[in-house]
Amino acid sequence: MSNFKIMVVDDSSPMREVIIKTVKAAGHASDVFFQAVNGKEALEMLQDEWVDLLITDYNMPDMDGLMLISEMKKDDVLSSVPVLIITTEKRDELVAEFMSKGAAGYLKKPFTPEDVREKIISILGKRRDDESELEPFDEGLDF
Amino acid sequence: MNQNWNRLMKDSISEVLSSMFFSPVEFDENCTLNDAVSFFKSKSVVISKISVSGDVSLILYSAFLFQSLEELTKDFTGREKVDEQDCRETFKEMLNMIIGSVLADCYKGNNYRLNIPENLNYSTFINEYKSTKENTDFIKVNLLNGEAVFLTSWI
Repeated sequence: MSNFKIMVVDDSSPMREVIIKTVKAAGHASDVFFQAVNGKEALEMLQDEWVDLLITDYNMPDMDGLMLISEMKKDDVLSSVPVLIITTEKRDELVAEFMSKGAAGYLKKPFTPEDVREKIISILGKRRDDESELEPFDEGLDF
Repeated sequence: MNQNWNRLMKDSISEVLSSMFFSPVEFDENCTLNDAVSFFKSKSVVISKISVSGDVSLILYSAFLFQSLEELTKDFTGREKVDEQDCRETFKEMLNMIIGSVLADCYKGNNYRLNIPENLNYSTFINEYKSTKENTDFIKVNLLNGEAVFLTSWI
C-alpha cells in the first residue's frame, strides 16, 4: 500500500502535533505529514505539493478553514483533494455550511483516536475504492 | 449566577480535560467570586481569554497555575519536555474546546462568532473585568497538581 500524504492546518502548534499523533495512531504511522498555520500558508504549500487528505481547523487567523475549502474548490487540481474539518464548532448550520462548501467530513473537538480513525477510513477508504476500480482495465494490457 | 451556564461549563471542562488532557477534575463549590478573581493575581499564574460576539456576547477568562498547565501540555502533546509557548498555545486551544461545546448546547440556533483566543497579563485582565464585573459566572477547578479558575463575563 502506498503511503498517503496528509496536510494538517491549524494555528495551534500543539494541536497540529496532537492531530498528527492521533492520525498516526489511527493506522497512518508511515504516511507523510505536512503542516501549515492557516489557510493562506496551506494554499501556498499546495502549489508545490500534492496531498491525499487535508485536515483543517475552522477558526484561524488570516484565512479560516471554510475560506480554505472555497479557494481549493476554485482550483481544478486542488478541488479533488478531500478536506476534513476538525473544529470546536458544532452548530448544525455551520456544519451544513462546511459540507455545502465541499468538505469531505467534519469532526468535533474534543475527539478520540477512534473518532479520527472512522473519519479517515470513510474518506481515504472511498479513494482506495475509486483507485481499485481502475485495476481491471490495467490487467491484460500488453504494449 | 447562571446555573445552566455553569452546569454546562462544568460538563465541558470535565469532558475536555479528561478526554484530551487525561486529567480528572473536581470543582471547588466553596469558592467565592472574590477568591476566583484573586486567583488571577497569584504568582506563577497564566491567564488566557476567548471572546464571543454576536447574539451572544461574553468573554471567558481563565487562569491556571503554570506548573499545572505545563503538566497538562505534556499529557496533551505526549512530549516529556514542553516550553512556555507550547503551554500558552495549549491553553488557548483548551479554552476553545471548552467554550465551543457549551455555546452549541446553550445557544443553538443563535448567530454568534467564536473569536481567536488570546493570552493576557493580570493588569489587562483586571481592567477589562472591572467594566463587566456586575455580570459574572465563575468556576474553580482542582486538578491533580494544581488549580484553575474559569470566569465568564457577560457583556
